[in-house]
Formats: sequence, structure tokens, C-alpha cells
Amino acid sequence: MSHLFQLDTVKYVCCCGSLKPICNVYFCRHCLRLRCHYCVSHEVDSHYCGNCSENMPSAEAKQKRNRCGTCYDCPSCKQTLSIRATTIQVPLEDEPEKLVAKKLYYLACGFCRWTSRDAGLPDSQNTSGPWAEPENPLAQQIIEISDYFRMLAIREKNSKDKKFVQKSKYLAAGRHGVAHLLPRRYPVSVPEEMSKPLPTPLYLAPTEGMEDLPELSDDVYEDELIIPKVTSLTQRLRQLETQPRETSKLLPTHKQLLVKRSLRCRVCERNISKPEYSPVSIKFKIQLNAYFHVPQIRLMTPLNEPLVPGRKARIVLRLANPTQFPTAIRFLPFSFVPLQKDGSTDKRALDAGKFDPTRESSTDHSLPSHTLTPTTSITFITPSMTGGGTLGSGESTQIMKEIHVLPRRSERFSQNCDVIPPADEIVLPPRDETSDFDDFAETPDFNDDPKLVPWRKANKAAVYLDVIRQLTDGSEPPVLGITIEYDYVNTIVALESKGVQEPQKVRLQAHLLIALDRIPS
Amino acid sequence: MANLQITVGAVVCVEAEIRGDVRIGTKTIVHPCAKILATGGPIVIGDANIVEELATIENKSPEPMVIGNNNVFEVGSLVKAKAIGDHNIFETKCFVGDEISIGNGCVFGAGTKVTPSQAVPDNSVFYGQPLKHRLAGERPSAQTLQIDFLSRILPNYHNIINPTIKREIPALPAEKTS
Ligand SMILES: [Zn+2]
Ligand SMILES: [Zn+2]
Ligand SMILES: [Zn+2]
Ligand SMILES: [Zn+2]
Repeated sequence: MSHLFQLDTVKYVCCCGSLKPICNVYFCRHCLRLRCHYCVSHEVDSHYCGNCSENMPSAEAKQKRNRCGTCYDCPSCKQTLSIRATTIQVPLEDEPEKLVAKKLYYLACGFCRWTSRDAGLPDSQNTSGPWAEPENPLAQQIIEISDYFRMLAIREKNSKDKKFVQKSKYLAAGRHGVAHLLPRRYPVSVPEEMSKPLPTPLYLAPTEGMEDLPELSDDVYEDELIIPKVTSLTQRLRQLETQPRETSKLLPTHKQLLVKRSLRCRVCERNISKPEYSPVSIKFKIQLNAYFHVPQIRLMTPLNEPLVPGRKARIVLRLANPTQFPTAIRFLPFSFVPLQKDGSTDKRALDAGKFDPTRESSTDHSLPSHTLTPTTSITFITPSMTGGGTLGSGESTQIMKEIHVLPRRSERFSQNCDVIPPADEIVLPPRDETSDFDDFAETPDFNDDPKLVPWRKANKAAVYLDVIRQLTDGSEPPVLGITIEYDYVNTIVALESKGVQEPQKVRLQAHLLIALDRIPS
Repeated sequence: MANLQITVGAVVCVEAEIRGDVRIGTKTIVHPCAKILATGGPIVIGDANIVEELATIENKSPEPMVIGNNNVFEVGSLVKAKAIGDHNIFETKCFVGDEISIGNGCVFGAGTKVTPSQAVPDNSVFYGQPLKHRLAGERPSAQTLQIDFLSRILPNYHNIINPTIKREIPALPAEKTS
């Protein structure tokens, strides 16, 4: 499927090493780094039902097993069921000769046309049911098991109070929700009582093997199998309690709740995405998608013929500036360095910190690392001519932190084309929403070299780039690795210091992999 | 010579494309731009069917194609079945192949492509991608209210073929040569 942002064509390399299209990466305004969903922590904000939009506190959601009390899913195809009404004529109670219309309700699926009548459920006089729930044949066992573990947890808690210190197995993170049940001094906590073995629940009785298996009944061999009457595996697993074999035994299932989640940068622990609380709202309080902060790059013209190793070709990229400030984009050879615990990044970062000329003037480096917030260190980021060779001391601590905090994804990729970087920078004006609707808007004049910038409109521009294929195996599809350096105006600093400081302009880098042989959408 | 027979009570719009030997039962509604093509044998349509816009019913085989009562052919459906019983629904953009004979109460879901060669059991529901097949407990109900509504409204806005005049419609080019 084609997509406006060319999901398969242009991939941004996240600092953890995963490759993502721009709409799937975030940008932490405090660390000034890309973050993908592997390098953020996910937190559940609220539970809600996607059908009736009812909000539910997490304790209630847990009690209801993360399901909505009023909405049902089709057990056959998983669509949401709707309530249908029928009218029947019933005789009046006191005058049996007189007929009155009475409304009855049943559940129906608009997609596969399953109805609650198919399950043999009688029509209800009420829109809200009640509809039959699958009875769990193992319910008693589950209660026994959870009671058993509850007892174990209580004992463990008591032994803890008595300083019989043991590594907690059953109390881990209040797994059985008994922490609040425990009084400080529990009367049973006498050592004699404690050492008494707990009666093991029935389920723990060892199972016994059978010598002779019971014969299969004749109808297994004789009856014709009618496939549409047998449930599929997904249907069975959706009704976990009974897992019926016949479609006639499928019962409507309560709709699974959805969650609103917020994302937090793992390095600086600040919010990257926070939705509004109301389930009906689709807006966000905080939404730091890279899409709003990092220049968007699309492939306008792919290669029209295969690129032979060692040969040059010309492609056209389309750049767009999504921010409210002008930016200047410079193209550099691909210079992504993956995070490594004991590898070059680590060492280089330290070296950079040691020899950084700005270090003398910096007051931050002597602070312990946890007080050194990345926001104060960004001023040290200098444009790197050798592809990220020079790093500020602040950035080195940040990289150190990233090394410890972030997962290392390091997805495999083959990058077999290099860019011949143009000497000039491309200046992009800020985004102006009204210009998107104005076909006759004046195109800003930046005195571009027409050999570099063939087209321009508002905050967008096209760029000719010469690429050269590396002298390696030519059988792989051509992938261009490119690093862009761009101006980013950080408004956070100004906000946090209450307008004392000017917004800071920093030079940032983004690393991209562009598949050159795909047809752009 | 091909001819079109419309029973009194049927509403067949002039803009519908009807070719070959076609007989249409009473209370059947044929919307404008629906196609009923008896390119091979004749097509016999029963009572109280709805053929919506851009739906196509085609019979290429020399055998007559008999369609029962209370069927709905929704927008853009393409039906070539050998025979069709009663109370079937052909949802939007579905395709039914020419080797299939349909009983009663079947539903062909939107966008499905059904081409088995054997007869389908009654009350079958085909849906989804990939195609799934289930058996419903009861057949879809008749669209009586909708038919009444359409036969009242459609003549206000469209020219209707007058059923009393027996007409001969131009034969197909292929038949002309034979
Ligand atoms: Zn990442
Ligand atoms: Zn709900
Ligand atoms: Zn369904
Ligand atoms: Zn951060």
C-alpha cells in the first residue's frame, strides 16, 4: 500500500538503531534526539471502551478483566455487535383475547450476520440483556489456586516481619493484590503455625497416566464433518473459558477495553506523548512526533534504471520544514554510529569530552551526571564537519546515559550507496498552514542554484542529489545512507526559564536510509 | 427473438440495461443502471426481488437461469449463478461464479468472491477476506417495506417500463447472426 510518507522508502535511524518511517518516531525536545517506541516507556493513562467510550478506572478494569460491561463482540468474526429490535404480538395478561405489540431485543453482527439467536439465546426484553456468559468449568480450581497463593503470600509477608528474611517469590510487586489485606501483626504468625505445611489445593495432586485410552465414539467416524459448523482456532481462543468446538456454542463476548497511553523518554524521563484524558477526545496534551520537528524527506524521483556498482546517478528528494522557524539543511555522508556498551561510541564520547574546547567555559561538566540536564548541554553541539566526530561534553554524558538506558536494537541494514554532498545548504522557510491552500502564494526567493534546487513552494523544496553506488555486490537493492544536518530552534529552554533566555538555535543531525528503487507514491 | 416480459406490479426503470430473454415477476424492483444480461439462455426472475444500481445478473449458459423470490442484489454485485432460490442477499461488490447453484437464505458478504462448483447449503453466510463460510440459524427476512417504498417513490423520479405493453427488445448482435 502506498503512503504519503513512503513508509518503506525513507527510514529514519533512531539512536537505538531501529529503522522507522517518520510517522513512527518521536522527537524528545529535551534530549534533542529521535526516540522510537523501543526507547520510550509506555504508561497506561486510562482504560476505555472503544465502542461506547466509557471511561473506567484501572481497578475496575482489572476487576472486569479489561472488558466493557455493556458492549459485546461477535464471537464469530470479532466485530462489535449491535442491538436489534423485533416486535411480537403477545396476549394481554388480564385479557388473553387482546393482542399487544411487545418489543424484544437480540444481538446481531452486521458483518457475518451472526445473531444471539444462533447461539440459542432467547430474545431479551431489555436492550442491555442480560446475555448468557460462558461458564468457566475451571472456575473452582482457579479460585483454589489463587487462594493457595494468597496464603503463601501472607506467610511470606509474616516471615518478613519476623525477620526470617527470604527472597520473596509470591509477594513480588503485590502480584496477588493482598498487600492491603495484611495487618502489621498477623495473629497466625507464630513460628509453629508458620512451619505447618499448607494443604495443597486439589489441582496440585499429581495427575495419573492412563493405560487404556477410551474408544472414540462411533459418530466420530460416521458423522459427516460440516466445516461451517466447526469453530476456527481463533474463535475458540476468543472464548477462552469453554473453547467450544461447535459454532452453535459460541456466545457473545464482552468487548475488550482499549487504553490511552502516554509515552515518556527513557533518557530524560519527560513526557513525549500524552493524550487528553477524555476517551472521546483524539487530541493530545503533549505530542512530540518527529513529524512535527524533524525535516521531512521524501523520494520524489527514484532511479529509473538499476545502479551498477561504482556508477553515479541522480535522484530528487523533497524536503519539507515542519517547524515554525526557518532551517538550513546540509547533506552529509552517512555517519550513524550505533550505541555500544564497550565499543567505539563509548570511548569516542569520552575522548570528545576530554578534548572539547568548550569544556573550559562549561560549568556543567563538574556536576554529577543526574543534575546535568540535557537541555543545558545542547549549546555545546557544534556542527560536525567529519560526520559527528566532535561532541560536546554534555552530549557525551547524554550518550553515556543513552548507552545505559536505551535498548540496543541495531537493526540490520545494508547501505550501499553514498551521496556526493552538495556544497550549499538548502534554506527552508517556516511552515505556514495557509500557504498549503493558496496556489498562487509567492514562492520565496532564496537565490537557489537551479542545478541544486529545481522546485520550491512555501516550506518545501526539491533537491537534486548525485549518488554513487559502492563497489560491492550489486545484487542487493540500492539503499542510500545519508545524514542531514539542520537548524532546530529549541523553544523549551525559553519556556522553562520563563523567557529570560532566547530560544536556542542548535544544529542537529538525522540519519536516513532511502531505498532508491521504489516507486514513490 | 429476444423478448422482455414484465409482470404487472414490477417496477423496472427504463435506464436499466436488459438484454435477451428476460422475465420479471411482480413486485420486483429493477433500479436504473442495473444490468440483466441474458446473453446465453433466458433469465427468469421471480417476485419481490430488488436489483440495485450497477448490479449485474448474467446468464451465459444456454440453460435458463431461474431466480426465486425475495432476493436482494445490492449495488455493484455481479451474479452469474446457475440458479438462485429465495431470500438470498448479494451484498455490495460481491462476485458469484457461474458454477454455483444457490439455495435459500444465503448471504454473500460485501466484496466476497465465491466460486465453488457444488451447491451451497441453505442459510450459508460468506464473509471476509480470506473467505469464511458459516451457517446461519435463520434466513434473512424479506424486504417488504423497502419494496413498497421503492415502488411508490421510484416512478416519481424515473421512467418506468410499462408492463402491459409486450415489447420486443433488440436482440444481441451474437444472436442476430445465428
Ligand atoms: Zn529507538
Ligand atoms: Zn462499551
Ligand atoms: Zn460477526
Ligand atoms: Zn529525552
